[in-house]
Amino acid sequence: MPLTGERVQLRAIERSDAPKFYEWVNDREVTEHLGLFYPVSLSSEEEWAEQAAKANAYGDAQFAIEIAETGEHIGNCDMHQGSVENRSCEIGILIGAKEHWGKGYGTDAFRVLVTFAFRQLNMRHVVLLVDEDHPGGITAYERAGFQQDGRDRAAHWSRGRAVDFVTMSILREEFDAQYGAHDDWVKEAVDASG
Amino acid sequence: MLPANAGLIGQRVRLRPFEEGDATLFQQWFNDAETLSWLGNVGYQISLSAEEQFIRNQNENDWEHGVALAIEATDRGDQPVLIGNIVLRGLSAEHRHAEVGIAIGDGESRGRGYGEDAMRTICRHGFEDLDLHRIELTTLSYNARAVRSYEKVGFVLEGRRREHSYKGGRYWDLLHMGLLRSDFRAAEGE
Repeated sequence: MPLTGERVQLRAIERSDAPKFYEWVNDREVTEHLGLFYPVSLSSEEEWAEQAAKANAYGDAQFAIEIAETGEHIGNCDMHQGSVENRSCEIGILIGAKEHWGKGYGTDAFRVLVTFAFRQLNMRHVVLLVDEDHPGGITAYERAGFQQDGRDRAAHWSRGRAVDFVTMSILREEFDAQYGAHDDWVKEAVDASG
Repeated sequence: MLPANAGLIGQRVRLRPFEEGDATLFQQWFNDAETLSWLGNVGYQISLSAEEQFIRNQNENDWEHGVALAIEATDRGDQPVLIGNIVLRGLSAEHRHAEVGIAIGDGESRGRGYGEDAMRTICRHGFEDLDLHRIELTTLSYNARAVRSYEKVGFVLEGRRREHSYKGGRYWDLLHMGLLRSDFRAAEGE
């Protein structure tokens, strides 16, 4: 049972996903705002997918993003840098299917991922980094409830120059205020158990 | 040797990481019938090398390996005196719970409040430093002294596994006790 949003679902990565990743990560339009520098071989992507298929730990998880209605695989998202003591992780996303950009799938996937982090993994803090030259991303993350914390100045080298990473985060109480503290089934379960 | 003010500091005990030299006393304690009678351990005789391995295995205190510490009494003169050990293990990142187990190996130190002090100290570490929500333990049903000391820390009796443990020629119930962070704070406030 994948994690479901309003329009997308997140499922585990399979090794057979590698050919798609191979296309995406070698498309410079797709990787423009990601920290990727080199052309990537198919076999390297296969190795990556095999690792990702096993990743399933606190703050270390990879997901394929599918359009719920059609099952079409359009991108990936992940959590990394998990810290059990700080109850924190960093998240990231890639929509590789360019024909689906700007349709809100990324925002929905992000919402599912953050909901998973807070409601199932019991985290306190979720952070992300975004390229300052990616205002569309920043706006989407703000819409999802993230606040701008500051900047990692000139942290990223891209397109022949240094760009800042904007650091953004959302805290559990902010998430709860925006989305509610519990999954929908919780109220029913509480009522049923008296 | 750690200075006496290092480690997790309680009222009359401090908790410090295991040291290689602890193996000798650990071996004596955990082969001693009286000590074993209060613990869940089965009394197979333990070699010194097995005890040394146990200490080496606890080289890392962290989320994955748990936190295992030596209990030292600090009110017996200038130098801390090793009297037992205490272990927080099974830490769950998502559920924010863990189990605790304690042994006071030094016979003369039993019944004198050291265990209660050590338990409170490691629970404080669990709640304040590691952001746990709940800590649980089990104890044998005839160990009324232990139950009382756990209750003073704030633990609540939650259940009983009937005739779970065989000790001394018969079966005994195993008691389950749990401590929520709120229980701990309430007990500390008293």
